[in-house]
Amino acid sequence: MDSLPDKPETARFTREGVWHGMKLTTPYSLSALPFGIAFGAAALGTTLSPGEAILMSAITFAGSAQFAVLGLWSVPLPVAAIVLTSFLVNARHIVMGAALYPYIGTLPRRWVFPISAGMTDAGWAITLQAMMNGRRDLGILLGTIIMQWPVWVGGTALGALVGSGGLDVKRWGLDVLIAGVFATSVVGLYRGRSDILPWVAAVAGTVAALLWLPGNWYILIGGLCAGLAGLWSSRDE
Amino acid sequence: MNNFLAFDSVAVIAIAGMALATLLTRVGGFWLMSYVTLSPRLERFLRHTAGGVLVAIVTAAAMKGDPAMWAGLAAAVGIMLLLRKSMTAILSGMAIAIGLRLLGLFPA
Repeated sequence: MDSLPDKPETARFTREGVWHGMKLTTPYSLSALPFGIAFGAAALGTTLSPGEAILMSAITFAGSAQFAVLGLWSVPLPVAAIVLTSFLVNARHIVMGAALYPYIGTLPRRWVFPISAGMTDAGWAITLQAMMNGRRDLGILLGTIIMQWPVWVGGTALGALVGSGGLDVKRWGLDVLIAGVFATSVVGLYRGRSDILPWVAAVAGTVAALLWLPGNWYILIGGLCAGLAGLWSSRDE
Repeated sequence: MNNFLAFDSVAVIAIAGMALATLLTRVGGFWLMSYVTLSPRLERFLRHTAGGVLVAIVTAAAMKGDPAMWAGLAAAVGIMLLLRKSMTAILSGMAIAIGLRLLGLFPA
């Protein structure tokens, strides 16, 4: 019950997987547009040129880090602080990648590393859910990137060139869309009672981190609380 | 208005540094794990950590939400539990939040 693959399947990298990933990401990819527009428009409030903002979205492709550095973007540019902030804001990806590794660890690094370079929070959640349900196909992760990257970069260009304030996130229900991607993944991940204690631990760790720590440390702390609680709750198996 | 074609060399270096730092975090987890032997215990730890990361993201989003968002999110979870179709669940939850806000019951 608690072992990794529900229906053990060899790790693969197929075109069908790419399609499947693209299909699963379709509704979510909509939400990248208003945030891309908002980022492009916000970047114009700093010394960033539209070309630089688009370059940042294209090669960094990390919304939360990009918004975080806008606050630092002033002349003279604090390059070290900008790079360090990007690393810290994105440090959660290290844990996410490690958690995905058992499903695709048998695949060659020349496939895994380049594709993991485009892994977003939502892409990770969608891929993890598919893999836990037995579909161990690296193509799924690539599909999530194909559906998100053009929208994020295009949205940035639109915001930076047109300079509009973007869509009203709440009016269009995009807050539910974004949280819903992660919430439905949680439901899809449930395997049995041994999951309950880790999830309660994750909620407790997240609330504590949100109350007492800045930034998005809550993601790492919530994850690690669940990991440790999971070891404890399944210690007799 | 900033000039579209202006590429300041220091800004480009900073952006390249951001991209590299982000790349390290995204590849880093896979890279580190490729040096580790996966024991059943470690697999369990990683599996529960992954679930915890998801729970953390949902918890934080819900704490920042309003009643219309909670209603939409609850509907999405409920439909997912019943039908196991994530796209149907998410789009239904969105529709409920949009509807509640349109009705003005829970102003955005």
